[in-house]
Amino acid sequence: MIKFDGCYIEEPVVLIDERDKDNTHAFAFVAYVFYEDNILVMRTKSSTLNELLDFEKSEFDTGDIKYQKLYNIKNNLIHIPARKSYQKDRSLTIVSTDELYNKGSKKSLTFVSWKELEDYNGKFLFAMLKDMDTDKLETKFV
Amino acid sequence: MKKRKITFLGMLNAMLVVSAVLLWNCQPDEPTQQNIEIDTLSKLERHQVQFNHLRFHNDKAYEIISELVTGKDDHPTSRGEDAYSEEYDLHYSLDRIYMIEGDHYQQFSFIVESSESTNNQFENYVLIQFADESFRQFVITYEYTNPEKDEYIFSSIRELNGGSLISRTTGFCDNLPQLTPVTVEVCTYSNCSGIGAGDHTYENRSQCNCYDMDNCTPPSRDCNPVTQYEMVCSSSGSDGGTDDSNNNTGGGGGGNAGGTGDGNTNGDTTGGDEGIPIVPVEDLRLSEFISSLNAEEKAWWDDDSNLMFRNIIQDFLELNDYSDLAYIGAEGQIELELKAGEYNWEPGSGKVAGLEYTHVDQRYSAGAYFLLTDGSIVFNNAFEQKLTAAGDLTYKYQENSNIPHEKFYYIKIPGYDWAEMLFDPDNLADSLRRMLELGTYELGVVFGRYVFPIEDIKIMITGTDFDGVEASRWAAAGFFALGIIPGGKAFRILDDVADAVTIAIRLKGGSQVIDLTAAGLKIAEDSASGVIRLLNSLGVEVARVVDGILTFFYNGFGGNIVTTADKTTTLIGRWADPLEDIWNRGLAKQGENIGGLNILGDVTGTPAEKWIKNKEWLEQAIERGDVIRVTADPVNVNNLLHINPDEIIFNSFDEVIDYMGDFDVDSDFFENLGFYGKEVYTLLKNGYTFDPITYTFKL
Repeated sequence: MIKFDGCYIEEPVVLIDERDKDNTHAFAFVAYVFYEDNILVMRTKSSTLNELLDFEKSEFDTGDIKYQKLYNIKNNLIHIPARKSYQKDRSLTIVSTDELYNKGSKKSLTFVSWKELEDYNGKFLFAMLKDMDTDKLETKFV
Repeated sequence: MKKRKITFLGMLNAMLVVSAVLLWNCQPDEPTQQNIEIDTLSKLERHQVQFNHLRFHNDKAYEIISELVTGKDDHPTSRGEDAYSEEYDLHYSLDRIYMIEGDHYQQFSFIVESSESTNNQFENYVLIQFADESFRQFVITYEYTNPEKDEYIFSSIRELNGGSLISRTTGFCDNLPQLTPVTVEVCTYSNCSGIGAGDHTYENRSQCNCYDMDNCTPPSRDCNPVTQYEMVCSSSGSDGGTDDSNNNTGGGGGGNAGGTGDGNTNGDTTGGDEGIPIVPVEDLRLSEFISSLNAEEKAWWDDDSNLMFRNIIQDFLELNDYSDLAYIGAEGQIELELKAGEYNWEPGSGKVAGLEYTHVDQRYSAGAYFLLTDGSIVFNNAFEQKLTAAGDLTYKYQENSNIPHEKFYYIKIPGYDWAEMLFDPDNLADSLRRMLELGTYELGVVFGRYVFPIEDIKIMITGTDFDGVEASRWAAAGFFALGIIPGGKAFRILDDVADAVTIAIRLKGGSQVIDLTAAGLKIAEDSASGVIRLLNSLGVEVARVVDGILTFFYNGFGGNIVTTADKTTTLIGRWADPLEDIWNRGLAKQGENIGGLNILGDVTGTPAEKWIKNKEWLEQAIERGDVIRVTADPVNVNNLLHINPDEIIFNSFDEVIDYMGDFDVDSDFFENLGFYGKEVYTLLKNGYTFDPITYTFKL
C-alpha cells in the first residue's frame, strides 16, 4: 500500500552549470502526491541549496490538470500511463509504504508526511540533502 | 549626405521574344516607375570580396574574372595602365568586387572602364552564376544626369559572348534591367526511321510509312520544361526593338540556352519567378567627399600641383570604402597640407619611432619635428610635453634640469590635437595589447592618447602601405605580426606570427580580440589563399578566417559554425562542446558581435537569476535579428530538460512545439527545462521555428 497524507520525494539531481564561474550547484527535486481517487500530482523544484524551499501541500491541491495524472496499482507496481505520444508509460515499484522505486529514473522515492514537512519549517529538503552523499547523486550539466 | 538616385530614361514598349537560345526581353508588367531609390537596391545583401579571396566564394567565378583580367598584369589587384583587358577593351578595378547572394544565383560586380567611356559615365562588369552553375557576363553603362554626379541612369548593357561584347544600346530599358527566369518548353524532334519509312519530319509525319509497318519508328516529339533567364526591364514601361544594331534577339551565350539533342527545338514561355536584379556598383563617393570640403580645402584639391597627393588620398578613401574614419583621415591630411607651411621643414630622411620621415624641423635642441611620408607629423623630445590650450606642445615641467632624458613621441594627425604615442618601439608588448583592445571598439581614431597616422590606419585596414608593400612600417618599427583589416577583409599576420600574443581578427562588421596564450591557440596564415588558421597546441586547426568570415570547426550538431557578415551569429546549445570551447578560446563575445559569434559566457547567481540574464541576452539577440544557430539537437530531450520526470522522448521538433505549447513560464514544466530548453521555449513563443537545414531558428 502507499500513503496519501504526504508526498514521495525522489532522490534529487545535481545541476551543474559549468558556465558559472562561482560553481554554484543547484538541486532538482520531484515530488509525487497520490490521491485515493487514482490521481497523481507531480511537482518539481530546482534551486541552489540556500534558496531551497520545501514542497507544500497547497501546491498539489491546485486542481491544475497539467500536473495531474492517472495511476493504478497492480500488485506492487504503480502504473502511470502516458498522456502524450512523446511520453512513455511509467511504473513505480512499491518497496514499502515509505519507499518507492522509479524504474525509469532508477531512483528511490522517500515518503514524508505533511506533518513532518511542517515540523521542518521549510527546511526538509535542505536537511535531506545534508544527510546525503551528494557526490553519489545523479549529475546533470546544464 | 545627398540621396543618390537612379533614374531611367525613355519609354519603351514591351517586347517579348522567345527562343530556345537566350533572349533579350523588355516586359512591362508593372505601372511605369521612373525613379528607383538606390537605397532599395542596397537592401540586397551584398558583400565586398577581395579578388584573391574570391576563389573561396566561387572558384569558377574567380577563374572567369582572372581570365578577363590576365594577360597584361601578373598582379590583378593592382591598378593603373596594366589593369586592362585588351580583349574586351576594359580597364578594371578589382579593389571592390561586390558579391550578391541570391536564392538561386550569385552575382559579382565591379567597376570597369572602357576606352569609349566618357567622364559622364561609369561602367560595371557583372558576372552572374545561375542555379545550373552556368555563367553570363555583362558590362553595364550608367550615365550621370547632373553635374554633381549623384544621380545616374541606366544607359546600356553589353554581354560578353565568346570574345566579343554584344551591345545593347541606349533605349533597351527605361529602368533597371534584370534577369528573369521563364520556363520554356523545349522540344526535341526526331524523324521517322525504319526501312522504307521515308525520311519525314514530325510535322510531315502523316507522310511517313510507319503507320503501316511494324519495323518503323514514327516521328517523335519529346518536350521538357527548361528554365531560362531573360533580360527584362523591371517595373517600368519599356520598349524594345528600336535599336538598329540589336533587335533584342539572339546574343547571350550562357549555359541556360534551351534545346537539347540534335533535333529541332521549339519554345513556349510559361512565366517565371523573381528576377535577378542587376545592382549598380557606383563610385559617386569621391564627388561626395569633394563636396564636403571647405573652400580652402577645395582650392587645394583643385590645384593640379597637388595631383600626386590627391591621388593618394583618393586611393586611401577608396581602399577604406569611404568610411567615416577614412573621411576624417583624408580631410585631416588636406588640413595638414594646408598648414604644413608653418613648419621650417628641411629635407631629411630616416626613421623616427619606426616611421619614415622626409623632412625635419629642428627648432628645439632637445627634440625635433618630423614630417612623415604620409604627411603626419611626429614630435620627438627628451622631455615630456603637455598640450596648451592653443593646441601646441610645451614642456610639461618648467624645470627639467633634474629630470633624466627620456624618449617621448607625439603625433599630430590633422584634425586632432597632438597626441602622445603610447607605444615604445623598444617595448611593444603591453602597448600593443592595449592598443588592440582599444582599437577593437573604433579602429582608426584616437586610441586613448594614441592616434594612428593616416598610413598606419591604412596599414591597419588593408595590410599594405601606400606603395602596396605589406605593412612595411609595422615590421620596420618592430611591431609584431599584426594588421587589422575591416571591410570584409580578414586580418593577416604581417611578420613573425610566433611572436604574437594578442591578435585582433577583423570580421565583417566587427572584430574579435584573442589572447592567444590564454586561448591556447597559434596563428598561421596561408598568404597565397588569404586564409587565417587558428591552431590548437597540437597544431590542429580549430577555426579559420576567410574574407572576414570565421568558421569554427565543429563535428557536433549542425557541423561547422560559420559567422554571417553584417549580422551577429548567436549560438545556443549546451555549454559543454562547443560553446565552452569557443568561449574559452576567445572566439566569441557576449552580446552584439556583428560578423562574429555571440555566446552567453558569463552568468552567475541562482538558476532563476541566471535565467533572467539569459533571457535578456536572448531577447537582445531577437531584437537585433541575429542569426540564431543551435549547437545541440533541439529534438533531443536530454538537451532540453534537466529533469525529465515524465520520461519524455521527442521524435520530432513538432512534438517539442506541442510540448512547449502546453505550459507557461510559471509552471514546473518550464522550470524542468535547462537553459537551452528555456531558450528554445522563448524562441518558440517569439514566433521562431527551427530550420533543420540551416540549424538555425528563424522567424
